[in-house]
Amino acid sequence: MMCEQAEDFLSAYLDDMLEPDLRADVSAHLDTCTECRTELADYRRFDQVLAAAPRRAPSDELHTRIFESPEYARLLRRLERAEHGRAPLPLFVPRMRKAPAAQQVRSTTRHHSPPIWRSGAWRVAAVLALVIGSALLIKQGLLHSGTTGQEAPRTIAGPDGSAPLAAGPRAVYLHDGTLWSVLGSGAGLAQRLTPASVRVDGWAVSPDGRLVAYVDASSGRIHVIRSDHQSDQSIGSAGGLAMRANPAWSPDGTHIAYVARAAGGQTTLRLMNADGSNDVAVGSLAERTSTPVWSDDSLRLAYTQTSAGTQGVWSYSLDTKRSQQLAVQADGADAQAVVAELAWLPDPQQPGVTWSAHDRAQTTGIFSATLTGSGAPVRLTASGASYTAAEYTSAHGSAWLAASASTLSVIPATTSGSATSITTVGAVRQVAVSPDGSTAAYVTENDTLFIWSPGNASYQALSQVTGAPVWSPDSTYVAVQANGSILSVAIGQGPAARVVHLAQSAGATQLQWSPDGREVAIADSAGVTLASADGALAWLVDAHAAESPIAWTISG
Amino acid sequence: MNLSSGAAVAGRSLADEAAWQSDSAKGRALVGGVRAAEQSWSFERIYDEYKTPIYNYVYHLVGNREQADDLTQDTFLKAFKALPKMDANLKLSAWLYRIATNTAYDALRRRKLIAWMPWQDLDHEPADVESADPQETIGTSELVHAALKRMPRHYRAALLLYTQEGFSYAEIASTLNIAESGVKMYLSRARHSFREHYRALEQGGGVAR
Repeated sequence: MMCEQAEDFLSAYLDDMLEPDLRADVSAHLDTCTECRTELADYRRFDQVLAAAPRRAPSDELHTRIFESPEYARLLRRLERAEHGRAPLPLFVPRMRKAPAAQQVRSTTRHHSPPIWRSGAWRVAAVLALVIGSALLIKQGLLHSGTTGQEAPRTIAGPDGSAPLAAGPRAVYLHDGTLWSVLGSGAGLAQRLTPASVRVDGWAVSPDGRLVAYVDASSGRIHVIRSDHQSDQSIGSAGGLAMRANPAWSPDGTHIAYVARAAGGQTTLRLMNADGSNDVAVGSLAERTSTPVWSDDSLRLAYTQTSAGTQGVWSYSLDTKRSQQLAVQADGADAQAVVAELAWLPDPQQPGVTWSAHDRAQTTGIFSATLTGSGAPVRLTASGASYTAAEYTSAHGSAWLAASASTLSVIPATTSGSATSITTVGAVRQVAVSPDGSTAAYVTENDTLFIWSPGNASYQALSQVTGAPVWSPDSTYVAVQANGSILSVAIGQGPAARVVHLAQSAGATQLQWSPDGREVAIADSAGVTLASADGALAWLVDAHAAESPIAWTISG
Repeated sequence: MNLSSGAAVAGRSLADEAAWQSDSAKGRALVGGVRAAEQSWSFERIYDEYKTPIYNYVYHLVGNREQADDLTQDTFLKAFKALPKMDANLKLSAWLYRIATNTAYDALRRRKLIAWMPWQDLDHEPADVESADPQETIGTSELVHAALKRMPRHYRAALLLYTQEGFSYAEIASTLNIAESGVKMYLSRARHSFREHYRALEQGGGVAR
């Protein structure tokens, strides 16, 4: 071993964190090298110097600054309000009591909790005891589980022998090749979801939120792990072929489709049962294959494949086990266009897909094609027209909301309906349709957020908006970034008190509501923050920026 | 290779176990205290127990007393706000250090933005103890302070947690939100960097960069 190599291991050698073989190598090198011995001795000495360095203590004044700060007073008031039944209800809340008038008179220099808070200590203690007690039981269960009894429970330890993550809705995201998970309704910081031995690339949460399928980029295998960090397993028989794309769960949770490498540097689509059995390639080979979109009945897949620079649209039927090309180009008039959004039409009797085509930062057209009939795609928008934003909704018979320079149009995805439109103040930059399909939120080029439901006039909700609007699951709120803050706007509740401040944000931000609508996960350049939807709490759960969109899981 | 990664996993789980046990023992002692003293567990109790280690850690991270006061205040207020919704698996100690780390990093980032200067110029600003003849005027603790101040912040945090707070690799990984292999690398570079700066200062105040 050379000095350069040994030097890298000296620190871990000192801490006895090297594997035996490596340790022996470093040790042998140290026997012959004075320089490295000196460096090791220095490390040891500096550790002692640091450990012995005097501890700095805060001034007494800091106590006063904290416990008599307006922020602390606000916190106590919030806890009091939460105690009186306001949602979301924290796990535990100190019980507040009106202090007798005499006790409210206190010296300004007094360094004790107000009596109003101390009265809640018993309840806090009880919950703390419960929390620690439960953790203890879980831990002991781990250490001694399954040694007696006929039906020994399957292993409940995580991939690294750790306890299950706490139950409830959890926000999940990727950074540094690891999926991280954080409890939505708790203040715990993000915890590792996937094992240290894998490098996660594409991933997807199962429809019931209880499993996560992911691609391990280091082995090219698909894994499935429970969303509580348990039972990680590599599945499928086509080991080492998965590409860096998100897998796709069928809506009924029985199948997983994924993009895989094929012969000659080509790609293909593969399909398997969710337990990894029956892993087969479906469809043809192409230079690139997109993550597929499932039909609602879990019987069909739609996807794109690119060959010789042109992207076509395909479908595959699980019944007939056949693939079918629906369009040779994303846009028949533009060979360079690619599919921006692809969706199945809602009528299972007449299966078909609809998509928007994108080229040079514009939507060049919206199309649909049925699996039966002529098979030729139908252009739903005027030839030559282009759009600044477009979004599909399956609500109300399926339609596209498409914005051009000063018009926002509802374009039915089946040819039978007729378009309705309104005039907008300037071009629309982003548009988001509510989950129930009733309302659209859109942001214009001058950073104003408007709310519009067809049949009504649109109204201005916010200015200085910088991000895309994101609807709450129940279609009653829109969260959006505006002027360095994340705000929640109540829809259809009159002009007064409509906006709630959720958190600060820095730079480009993406937002994701929890499935129960109680929290909003916020990812920006400073890290990941969870905010309660009522604006009462916001806490940084991870100081690393998320490298993927946030998704929510359910566990327990 | 397989053998080594397997051993690393076993090492971590044991370390986790030890960390968890020490945390839960502390937690139980707190609850016991509540039962004996009736109503003594409170935000104040947490503050009293952790104020010095957290302040000391933050002080060494940012290298400035006034800012350490502000950031310690921020850390505890953030913790108090979040605590009522805490996770069942919460390890109070590691959690507080993590909030403190994030709060200090945020401040260092802001300082960088406000000053509109490269990170190094601020992070490596001369320590207040540096003078014409450091060898005669600087004691060991000042040298430690000055050497720490010259180190990259991530390495500094790992080194402080390991040497001053007695954290295990697993606890550092959890506090800094990095993998345990990352802790190994951070500590290696931290020790190397600290040694360079300390020796340079010791030998006459030269600025090792």
